[in-house]
Amino acid sequence: MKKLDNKGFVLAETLVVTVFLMVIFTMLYRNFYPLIGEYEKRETYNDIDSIYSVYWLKRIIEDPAYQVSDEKKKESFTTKGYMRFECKDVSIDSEKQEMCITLVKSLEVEGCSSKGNDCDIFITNYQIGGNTPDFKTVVKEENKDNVIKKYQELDSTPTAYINKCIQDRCPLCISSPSEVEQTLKDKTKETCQDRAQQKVFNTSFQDYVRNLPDYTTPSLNSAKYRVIAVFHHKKDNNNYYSYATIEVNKGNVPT
Amino acid sequence: MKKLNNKGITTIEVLLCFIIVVIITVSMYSTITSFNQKRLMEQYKEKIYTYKELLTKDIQDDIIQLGLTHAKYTRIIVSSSNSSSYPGVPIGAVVHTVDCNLRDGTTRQLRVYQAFAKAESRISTNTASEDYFMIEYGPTGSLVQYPIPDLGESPAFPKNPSDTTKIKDLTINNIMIKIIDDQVLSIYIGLYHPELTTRFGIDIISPIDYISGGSGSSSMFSS
Repeated sequence: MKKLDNKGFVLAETLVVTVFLMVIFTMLYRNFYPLIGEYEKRETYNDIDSIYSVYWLKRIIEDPAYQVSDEKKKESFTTKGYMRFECKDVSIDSEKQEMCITLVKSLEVEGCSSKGNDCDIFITNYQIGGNTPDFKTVVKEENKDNVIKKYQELDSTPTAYINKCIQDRCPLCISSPSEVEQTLKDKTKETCQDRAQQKVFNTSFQDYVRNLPDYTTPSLNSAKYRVIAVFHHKKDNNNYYSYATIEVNKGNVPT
Repeated sequence: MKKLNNKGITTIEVLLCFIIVVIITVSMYSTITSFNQKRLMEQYKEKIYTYKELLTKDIQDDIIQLGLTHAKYTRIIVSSSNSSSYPGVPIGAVVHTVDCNLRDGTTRQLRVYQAFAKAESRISTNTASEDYFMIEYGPTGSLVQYPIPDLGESPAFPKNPSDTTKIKDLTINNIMIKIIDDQVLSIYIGLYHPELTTRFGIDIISPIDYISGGSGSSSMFSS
């Protein structure tokens, strides 16, 4: 009898194909899974609560009672490309200032002091990318590591670090270099560093800003500014951040 | 007779293929199951988002377009003496009411009804036989009902099959309504789902009697 021709796959061939398939599936899975996390992260970008919250902030900024000094204007817009909104700048109408403090607390704006200052509410130019100064680049570069590096590079004279401290908006800075003793100096520097680290842009805010468009096309409402706010939701045992932006139609861009 | 061409796969090959398929199926099973669960949760989230956005938009649009001049908050418990004012609402339910006066002279009312059925999993003295949650909003006297999405229900007493009381999976869990210094109205209606926790609550915040001095015309800077 003629011997059957029973040539089939050899074990090695089968194993090679199996391993190949497994590698492909694993690669697909590893690339696909982070997309879900990304999607979940973006659920808190411009959600309805944040949009209405930022709308009320816009209304206050557009109010004539909100005025900022030339010094602040120069320091903020020309060097950093943004300015923090603070209730102390709603200075013309004391009732509105009080309302502003109550409102930012109720809106759970991140970083606000008890007087509604130092909030994570950023007023920027309408265009936030591809211009000078470029808010997107500022946000990208002003991170924790860079701030620590900047402090480490400071020379040890009190004036330098105090000026730096004031520039970085540390409210606990000592106003005059002559008052500074070594112990106090070290303590102040430490406090300032901590404070500065808290005030730099964290990675989730950087992600949010990176995902925003540059807004190169002018606003249909001729808006010259934009407000970007961070909210830290803590009601009902929640603990998450949300972000929103809206255009602000007020005055002209400072020069 | 021509000899049949009986070239085929060997038993070992069949077995090997079978084992490989089984291994792949088993390893994929948990992934597929978790994806399916995730799909279901996303469906729930979408329903809650739609509901929340609809209600928030209706309330905020009235406040923004017409202007809120005054707000008043009351909280009462439905009892046999006042139940005639709340037809269809179970006795023991808590009714939160916010009356809003608008700048055009009209009024809007928001009512939130909350009644938890007695259940093993709840520390409650409530005797309601079933959960009752409802939100109503609209001009005073002609409120529109906004029933919360139905995302299923579970037995209230799993250890006692004869008790058919059910509790809803999506509940209005925590209601925090505050009028702060007559300046800001804050309405928080917490929606709770065992899988989604409390993250999807309705949060409406608005200044009271805020008159903007103008828009777009003034300069931001003092110089």
